[in-house]
Amino acid sequence: MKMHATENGDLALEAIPAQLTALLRLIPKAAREGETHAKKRFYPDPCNLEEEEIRRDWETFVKPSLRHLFRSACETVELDLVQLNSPHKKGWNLTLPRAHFPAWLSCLNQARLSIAEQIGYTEADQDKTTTSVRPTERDLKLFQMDFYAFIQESLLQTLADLNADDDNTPEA
Amino acid sequence: MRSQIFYPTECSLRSAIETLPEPGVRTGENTEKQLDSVWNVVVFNDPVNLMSYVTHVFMKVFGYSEQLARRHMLEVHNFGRSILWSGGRERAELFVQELHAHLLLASLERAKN
Repeated sequence: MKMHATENGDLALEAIPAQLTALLRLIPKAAREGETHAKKRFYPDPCNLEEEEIRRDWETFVKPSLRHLFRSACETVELDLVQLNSPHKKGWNLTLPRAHFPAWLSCLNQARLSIAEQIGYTEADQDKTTTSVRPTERDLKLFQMDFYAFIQESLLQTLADLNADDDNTPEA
Repeated sequence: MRSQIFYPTECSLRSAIETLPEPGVRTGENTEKQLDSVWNVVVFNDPVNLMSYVTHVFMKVFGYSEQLARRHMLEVHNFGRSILWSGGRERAELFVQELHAHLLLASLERAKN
């Protein structure tokens, strides 16, 4: 698989193998499962229990707005993933438009947090790599999380490069 | 000039952030007059969010320099928490909302006098 930033500042993934294409397709599903598996993580308490007024307002106004934001990010990602319906000669291609980077970062984060809650992810899992020829279900989930983290890092690096370019562009 | 990509809810925060003073643990305008109403915006460590992502979010939400954002990120990573901003309740709530929108563990705390 090749990954590079385009002239427009988009992120292009080319020649994606079938296995990774399958994981990409799973991003919105994994993210949406967080609404069930990682509810407390998606919508953490805004303050301690004594601040009843804030908590009440949060429940009424903020949580629905966050829910809408998370869903909207997943829908954007889902629309971009339609590109994976047509395979190319060397695999699948996918372009993440620059304007969709925030949605991708959000959806990937939702997916990773959701999986993390499901498998009881801890700090100890961070540098774990499996060499087993028969990986467990948990090993596969860890791989899925790592792959999503890799895309997140690539998006952030692309953003940083673009920002650096913009900073170096002389003003007219 | 830095390009800016925002979530829709950040538009309202943008002008507020631009008027903030130089980096530091920032303090709201009423803090000297109303010490009892100072609130801290606190971010907590979690094993899932990437260090680069947390730094990116601090820069985006608070308008911090990369150096300051990274310092706060490392404080979260090493000590479990960091106070990102202090000041009036309304702005503190907006900041916490923005941090939750980026799926960071954050909360409001009354500052101790």
